[in-house]
Amino acid sequence: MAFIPTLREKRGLTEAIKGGAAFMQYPPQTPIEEPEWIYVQTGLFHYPLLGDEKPGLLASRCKGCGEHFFPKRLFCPKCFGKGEMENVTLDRRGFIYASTVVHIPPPIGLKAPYAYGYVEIPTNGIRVFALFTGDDPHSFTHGREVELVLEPLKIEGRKPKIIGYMFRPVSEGDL
Amino acid sequence: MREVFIIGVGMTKFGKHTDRSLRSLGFEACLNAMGDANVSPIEIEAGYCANALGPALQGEAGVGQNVFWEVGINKVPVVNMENACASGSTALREGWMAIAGGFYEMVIVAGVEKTVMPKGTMLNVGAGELETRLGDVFPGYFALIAKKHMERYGTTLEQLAKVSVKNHFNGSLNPYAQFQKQMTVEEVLNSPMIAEPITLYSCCPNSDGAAAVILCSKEKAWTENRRPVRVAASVLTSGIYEIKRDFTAWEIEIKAAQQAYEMASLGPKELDLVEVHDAFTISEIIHYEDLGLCLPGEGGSLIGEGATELTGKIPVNPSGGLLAKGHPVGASGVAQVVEIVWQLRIEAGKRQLKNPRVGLAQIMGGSKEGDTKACTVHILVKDK
Repeated sequence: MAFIPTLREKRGLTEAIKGGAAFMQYPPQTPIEEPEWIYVQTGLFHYPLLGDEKPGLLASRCKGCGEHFFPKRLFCPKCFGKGEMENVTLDRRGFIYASTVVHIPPPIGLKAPYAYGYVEIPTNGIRVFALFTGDDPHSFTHGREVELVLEPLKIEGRKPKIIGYMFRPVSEGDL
Repeated sequence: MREVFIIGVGMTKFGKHTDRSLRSLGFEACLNAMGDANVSPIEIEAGYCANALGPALQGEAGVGQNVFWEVGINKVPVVNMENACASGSTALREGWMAIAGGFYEMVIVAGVEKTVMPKGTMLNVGAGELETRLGDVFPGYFALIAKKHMERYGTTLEQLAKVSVKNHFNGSLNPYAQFQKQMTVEEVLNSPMIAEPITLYSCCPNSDGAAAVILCSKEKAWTENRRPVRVAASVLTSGIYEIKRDFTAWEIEIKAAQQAYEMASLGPKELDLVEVHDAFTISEIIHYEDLGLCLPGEGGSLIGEGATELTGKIPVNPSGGLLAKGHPVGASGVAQVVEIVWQLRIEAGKRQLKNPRVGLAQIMGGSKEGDTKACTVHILVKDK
């Protein structure tokens, strides 16, 4: 079959020959406009939220043993081939299992002091690592009820913003 | 499986070596170990070199070949090892396996690292993990563990601080230690808060340094006036990554210790000294429990009553541990074994214990889903 170069390939070849550079270079990418925000990691939650959609963490549940995994994974490490994974959204309410207040800025540049720890979500039988927001960092003690929010990480001057997930105290009006 | 012996050990002083390269530090440690064993490069059949952060911090990979060539070792197999803080002890285990399995008669194991950072900056490691991207830092993870241990067992801030006080005292007697200054409970508690309840002097420092050992078979061990120390057990485990695990113990450490005791045909009561991974004060207390030096929950009172001091019934971290001796990541696991060999050979100077016969070294590395990624336990025995 004859080699019919597409427009993209033609441009690439021309550039390569012109520049005397390595063979089969692709054309230079047109600069992409910098986005306003990026995900802390893709596949953790839906964002931006649509209409009255509530924030939720996207997890996998093994149909074999019922175990939940966050972030999602392809196999159940316990059932392996016997378990099939299904997509679920975790309950957005949980209770603090452990917490600390960090007084030094981490390499990613969060403003100190900040609080984080692990949240247990009884509905799904899972424990999730999370930052805490919306109250005095010292107020996030063991057993406190918290709920999920999606917010930019508090890094001064960071562009694009990094959208992460956090837990805040349960708001009474939301019950 | 054949018996494996350590016939030579060496290390650099741990601390700040701003103007020295990885290979310069590695050279010094290897040369000391080879001199101690009285072996020439031609006798070394393979080399195992641990370095965890060279590619990230110095842009240097394949450190093993660079270091070993400085002491004239080339052509033979050289393996570069990375297993976070357990890199050095993982390299040791690889060397041990090669001799135990009958592949070689004599190998060299080294650990080399430079992690001293400008003041006030934290090592940016594990950037690929979700927790780190959200703002998790190592002291914070250990702060969570400390809080759970205090909550469950009533471990006190003073008991935590005493770990640092003990290790700084031991470090003050060790010329190879980064910090050679004693410290009080008040100084530890009043040092700047890092992650509640972990203060600055509850954390080990970033350090530069290297350590090396020469391993060999029984045939090579008992010649040339050598003073061999037998590696009676070498165990490596990885994490369980069970997100709902109990934060007050490391299941994989308990498992590694059990395997090691079985392999060495002895138990925790027969240990004369222990070197553990005291990256943070709480770690040492949990290691007491996981290694069976005391029951779960009794780690706080074990340090409280002074049982792990140089004069106690089971001295832990006579070298000063990571807290005072320093923590050049890839070198730490090898340096623990260097200290045990010195102690068993009665060469530990001012911090020398009374005629010890059995020593245990434990170290773990990395973090994944609230668990550690690697844990090693080695048991060394002086037969005569």
